[in-house]
Amino acid sequence: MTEIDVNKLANAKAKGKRPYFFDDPAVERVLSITMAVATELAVTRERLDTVERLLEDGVPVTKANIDSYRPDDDAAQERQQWHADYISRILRIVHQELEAIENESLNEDSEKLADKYAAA
Amino acid sequence: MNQESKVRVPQTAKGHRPTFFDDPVNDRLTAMMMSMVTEMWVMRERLDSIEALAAEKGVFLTEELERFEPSPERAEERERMRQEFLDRIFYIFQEEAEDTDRGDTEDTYEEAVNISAN
Amino acid sequence: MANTLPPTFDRTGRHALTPAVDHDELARFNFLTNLNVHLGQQVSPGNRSAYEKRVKPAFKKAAGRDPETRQDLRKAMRNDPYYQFWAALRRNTMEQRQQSGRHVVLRQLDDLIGKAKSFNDGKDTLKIDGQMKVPRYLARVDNHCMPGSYYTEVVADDILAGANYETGLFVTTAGSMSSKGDGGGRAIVNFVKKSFADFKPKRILDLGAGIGVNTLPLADAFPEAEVFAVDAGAPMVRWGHARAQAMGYDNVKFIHADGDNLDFEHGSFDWIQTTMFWHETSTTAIQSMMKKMFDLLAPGGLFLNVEQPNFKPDTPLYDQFTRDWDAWYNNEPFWSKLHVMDVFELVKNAGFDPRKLFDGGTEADIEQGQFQPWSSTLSRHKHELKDSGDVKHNQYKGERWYLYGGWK
Repeated sequence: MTEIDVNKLANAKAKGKRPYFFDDPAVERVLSITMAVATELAVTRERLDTVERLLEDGVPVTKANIDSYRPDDDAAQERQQWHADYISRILRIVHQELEAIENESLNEDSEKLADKYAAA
Repeated sequence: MNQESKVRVPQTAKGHRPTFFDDPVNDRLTAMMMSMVTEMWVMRERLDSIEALAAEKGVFLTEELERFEPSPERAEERERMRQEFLDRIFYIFQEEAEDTDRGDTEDTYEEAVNISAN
Repeated sequence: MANTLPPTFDRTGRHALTPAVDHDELARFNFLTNLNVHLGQQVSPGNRSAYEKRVKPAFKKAAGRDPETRQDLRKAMRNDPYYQFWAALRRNTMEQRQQSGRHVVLRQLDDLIGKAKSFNDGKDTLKIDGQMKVPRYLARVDNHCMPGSYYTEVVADDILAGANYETGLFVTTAGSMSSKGDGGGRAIVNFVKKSFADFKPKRILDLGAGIGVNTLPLADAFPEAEVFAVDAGAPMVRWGHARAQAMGYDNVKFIHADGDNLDFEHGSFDWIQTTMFWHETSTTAIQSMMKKMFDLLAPGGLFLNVEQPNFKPDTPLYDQFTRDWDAWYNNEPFWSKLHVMDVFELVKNAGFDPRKLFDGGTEADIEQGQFQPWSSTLSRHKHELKDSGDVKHNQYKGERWYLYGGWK
């Protein structure tokens, strides 16, 4: 048996400076943690889906049955659709910003608009 | 229908979305966090429904869940899972430490790009 | 309506060595694949809008001119908040993919090494060079953000790099390379069979073959041929050989060697193939290796390389910038230079007759079913090539590959 630190090695970094895209590196850290949490949430949701499907089929909810569960085509499609929808929800703010960039008419500042209306 | 022709349904109400922090990136992070808070709660409620249905059908009761004590093996397994979970969440700190240990900077990366061009 | 969702991870091809994945590991791959697709399809295109609507005007205002080089553009984009967010998300997704794949392999490393050894030990189809010095171009940074790159050995008889590469390929390409990941190799075979129907190579060399995903289709196409897969990473070669054996290939030899220092006879190959390999080398290394390859080819032999198409004078600046992205932020440092190199000049300088050079395109060959219908929406290469005008992308079903080569 080889003694290795599995978690440390799994987390190892690729050689070559990691790019930091934000002015404040703290933002990079918070985003990284947020996305890791997003992954874990999705994983837990898929697990719950598996538990439900096992229960529905009357299969005992054991670790072995959960690990060996393979979705049929319909179930696979539904689960992938959930991931896609979930990602759209958590990244909604990014899409909002894109819409604002692409369509300036959607993006008038409310305070300025209020002034405009007041003057009209 | 291919992706190109797909109509993108607007997600934004017309009118500038106000940003409340000095750095708008914090508005973005907060928005993502709030979406995940929603997701978390939806999932929590779903689990509650499963418990309710399980009780109704006589599978197990929420009270039993509350009293449940994992076997030593299961407890150990949970401890391992918890450790791995935290390692995944906070991996970026290990990355930063490794960069620092190696003395890697943006400049050393640019150097690597330039050297490979020779 | 075409399916725009990627297949689930459990649909990938299995063989005797395939690492076991538990429920949550599988779910994690599913999520990361979907995230990859989402970033490519939904978020990445917004960078262009950010560029046109605010980065470019701001640059013009400050500099009194339009951006003139892709470096101008890259530096200007670094200040855009939308781009910053996309870039950080993309980098993070790749890191999570590496972490997940490595963890799966590492937690069962002893078992996988044991299995690989059972296919490798005593076979004359595998050669590992224990003394080989890691080529300089590989040692500088770990290519495509794979910690430890292709060559690092954590334990004796290590296979981590190879097994992690195979496990994660699905996530990175979102299944667009078929269930066995060999869509590129099969595309090459289709091109060769269609273009050179009478070509019957007896000895084939695939240089920079990695674990041989794209080598095995060559062996399928020419079962009588002796096929050599050469790579500089010992863990890749060990895993590739064991995998090929487990899948029933006995005409493929796996050799661990530096492509610049190959122990083959002059003129001993009818076909030398390189697939998505050049961009992980360097100018001096590829010039030198190209000369070696020319020397190893028999008269009348075929050289073929698959890469992204190079920039042309009319390749829009913005496309140059997106296609350069991996060079700067996904640890592919040579790609930026390779994009503007005159590769035909390089091939000619190695000794090829300019009249016997050619280029072309071929589509990734992916089997029907789960993997077929959706992959035209793939993240990575789509956003890079879609509007470049280099290749037609309107109708393609899988990856579109650019290739060029020559006859000796």
